[in-house]
Amino acid sequence: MITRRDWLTSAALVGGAALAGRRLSAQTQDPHAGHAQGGHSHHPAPPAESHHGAAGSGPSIVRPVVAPPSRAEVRRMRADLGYTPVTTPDGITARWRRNVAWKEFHLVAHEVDQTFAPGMTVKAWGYNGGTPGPTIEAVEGDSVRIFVTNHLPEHTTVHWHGLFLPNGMDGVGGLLQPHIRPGETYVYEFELRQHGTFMYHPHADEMVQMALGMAGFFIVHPKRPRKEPIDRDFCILPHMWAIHPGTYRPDPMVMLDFDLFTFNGRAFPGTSPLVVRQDDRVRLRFANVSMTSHPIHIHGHRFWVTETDGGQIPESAWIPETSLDIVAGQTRAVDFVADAPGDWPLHCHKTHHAMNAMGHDLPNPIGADLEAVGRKISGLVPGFVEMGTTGMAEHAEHAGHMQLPENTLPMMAGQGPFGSIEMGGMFTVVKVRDGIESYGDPGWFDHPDGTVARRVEDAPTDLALW
Amino acid sequence: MRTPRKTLLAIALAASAVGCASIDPGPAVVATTGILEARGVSGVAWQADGDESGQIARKVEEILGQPVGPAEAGRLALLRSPHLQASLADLGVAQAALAQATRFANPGLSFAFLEGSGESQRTTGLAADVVDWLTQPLRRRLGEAELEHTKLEVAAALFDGVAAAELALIELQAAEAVAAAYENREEGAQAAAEYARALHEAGNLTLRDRILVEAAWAEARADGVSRREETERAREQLLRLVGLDGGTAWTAAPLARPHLLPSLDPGDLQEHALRDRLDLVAARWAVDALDRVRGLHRATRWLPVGVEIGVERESGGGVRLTGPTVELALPIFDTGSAMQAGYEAEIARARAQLAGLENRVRSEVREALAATASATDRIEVLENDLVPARRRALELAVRESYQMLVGVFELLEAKDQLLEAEISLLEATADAWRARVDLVRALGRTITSSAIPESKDPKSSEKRPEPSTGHEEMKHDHAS
Repeated sequence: MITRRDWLTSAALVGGAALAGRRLSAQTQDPHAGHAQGGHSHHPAPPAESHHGAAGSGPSIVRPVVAPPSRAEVRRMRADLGYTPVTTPDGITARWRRNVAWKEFHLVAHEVDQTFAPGMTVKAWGYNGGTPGPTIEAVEGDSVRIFVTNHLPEHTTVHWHGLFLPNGMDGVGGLLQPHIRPGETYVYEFELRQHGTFMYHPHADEMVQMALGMAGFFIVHPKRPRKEPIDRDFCILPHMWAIHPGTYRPDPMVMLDFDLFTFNGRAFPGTSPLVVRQDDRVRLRFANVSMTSHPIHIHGHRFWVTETDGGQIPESAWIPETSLDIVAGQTRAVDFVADAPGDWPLHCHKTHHAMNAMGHDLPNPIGADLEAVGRKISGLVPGFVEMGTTGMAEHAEHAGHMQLPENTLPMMAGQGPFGSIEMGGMFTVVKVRDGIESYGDPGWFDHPDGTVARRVEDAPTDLALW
Repeated sequence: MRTPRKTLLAIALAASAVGCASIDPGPAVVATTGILEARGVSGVAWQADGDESGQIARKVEEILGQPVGPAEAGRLALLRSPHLQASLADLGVAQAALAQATRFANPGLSFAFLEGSGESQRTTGLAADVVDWLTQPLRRRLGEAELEHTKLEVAAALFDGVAAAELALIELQAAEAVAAAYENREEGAQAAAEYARALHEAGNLTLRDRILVEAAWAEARADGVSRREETERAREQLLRLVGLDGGTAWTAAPLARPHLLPSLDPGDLQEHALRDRLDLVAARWAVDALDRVRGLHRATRWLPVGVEIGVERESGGGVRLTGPTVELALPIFDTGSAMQAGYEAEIARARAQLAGLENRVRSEVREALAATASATDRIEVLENDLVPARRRALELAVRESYQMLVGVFELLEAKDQLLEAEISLLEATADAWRARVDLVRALGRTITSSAIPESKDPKSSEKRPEPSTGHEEMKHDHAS
């Protein structure tokens, strides 16, 4: 059985250097236990040895597989911490330690091998073993000290997007601070004077560094939370990438024609489901550092927009939505009560954002009579298969047996209980189940009788006609 | 006193002692064949009898029964080419000229009857040209030299004729292969046009885009027509060179890679060429012949221009005179020095031309070697890198098409690029063959896959080609 400590520890940073000679739990604070451990220097120093090696060689940071918590564990943590800890699907929460008055965190910027979905690994830039970086979680009023070690091949900084802080801690390279050169560690210190959903990301060569995946959540819980506790608090960072099929590294030169779309660095069918218990109060937080907006849509529910990156919205001003456009540079939080059991998609409603890689500049075969010429082309180009004249669903059917370019994902994929789901990219499923005690994947929804659309033999003959 | 009868007999005896050359060109043909065989070319067919036995026709039929390669084209030229037969006939002309040069001038018989004042005088004369007698051996030597020169010229013409036929066959092979590849390109362009038409008819493609794709097909068709015409041109060129008519059914062998040459030392090859090139040998003969002419002139310029040895009998008035008549040209005004100076200048010019030709031969060997190496390198790059890369790119494009990353037009373009690379490889292969023919021409002898054969007696062919050198090991490399 997985204990709370196991889960929290496993959710923490596992650094190659940190693993060398020290037990993680001996030095670092259980990030959610909220009590201090003494014996640390008051002078700022990174939590692990600062000998990660020369720039470019980078630390070997491998994120652990995080086991889903039980409902009881979440409740205990809420009791201990005073807030429901945020879950970052397919990501991790940053470890921290108490050093007298400071909550100390450590971000290590480096190149990472990120699996978007089985069959596709990306050489991205991120923090602490992945992209997005670990979710920093603190409470309004905390004083945070954040070490930033740069193991990128170029300088960087970290900008704390939306936070109130001293000007010199805002992280704009050149304007507000020297750049953090490769191999260097800088420290940021500031008091959290607000609460809400925020981000961190570089403000040095930011076009490149964000295109390669550098961003993360900074969650500040309110000192005085609302009466109705949040049962499940998820943060999702939609991002879009130009990773041309057959390549491994995002192409930062692309401005518009992106071809991969992720939630927390995973593309469907690589995204993990959001598992909630029926009637849980669920919070979804979104942050967007990509170059366009993402209208996030939930099925079967409506959510209330409760927070902007400016803070909580008074309840009287909450608005119900089923789609919320998260524009570039914004964060938003929405709350809803998961009152409808089932498997409910949550996805970006820009349809190409809920697809995987495909070309955007090729002839449209739909409706064309291409059978004869297709045979001719098959004779000229061995292996050619004429597809798409009746639509593109057959691409999902063929995806399993046709050899695609290396390191990419089928444009439509995912197998559900009724067949091919034919989605990709920014798509996941909110699994609402009655009476569950664990937030592990419960499998496909077992629909009550008579609640699934069915085929009928006799279609009406007159209703569609005028 | 010798009677005219006795005198004529003496002339006849003298003539028979010196001897006259034959008019039979057979030995000259054999000698010319030997010159060619010493350079690796065999199979010369002298159609003096017009192929009454049908042997040549059978050989031609046998060759045409199989796909014809460059070596077979050379053999066909030797068997059938009217141009080469005309060159062989030059040997008969030269042989006849030699025979003519060695003949003595016929003696002259003269009669005169003078009458007046009651008197009459009859004069009867019989005369022969002594200068003609004296210079006959010299004329023979010059005639022989001319014949030898003709042998070299004929051998050179035959050697070049074989090379030209081989080259024409290579051009035909290349043209046919390239035309076939262009047909494939045409098929691809046609498929693209049909695809575009279907998309346009379905409402998915603009008329302009459809027309652009159809225009590309039209271009491909026009290219195809041009390529087919080039094939016909190449075929007719070959037919002219080998003397075949258009009605004969035969096929050219597919264009294949030429065999690799061994590592050849350019210096050695240049020495080979200086020894074997027939134009060089002929040029040396020209210098030699001019020298002989000059010597002849020098030796004869003081001879009387008319010395007639004979008798004259005058009768009448009781006077009877007999005796030789001599005409002497007094070298007072024309001492022959201008002619000598002319010969000297001609010799100097011929020697300079010879030196220039030697330099040219060395250069042509180097050039042909460079072209051979270049073509070989191009083939290597195209065959090992470009064509596989284009093929792989096409395969990967097919994979991308499964993901709708590329469309049909890009696929067909990738196929067209593969065909283009294959056409480049065909052209490089043809260039390798062209360079091989150039090298053979530059060397003046055929080359085999193993080595450049040594001539049995390289100096002899340079100084004086013998009628039959019998270098049997230097057969034309028909395996190439």
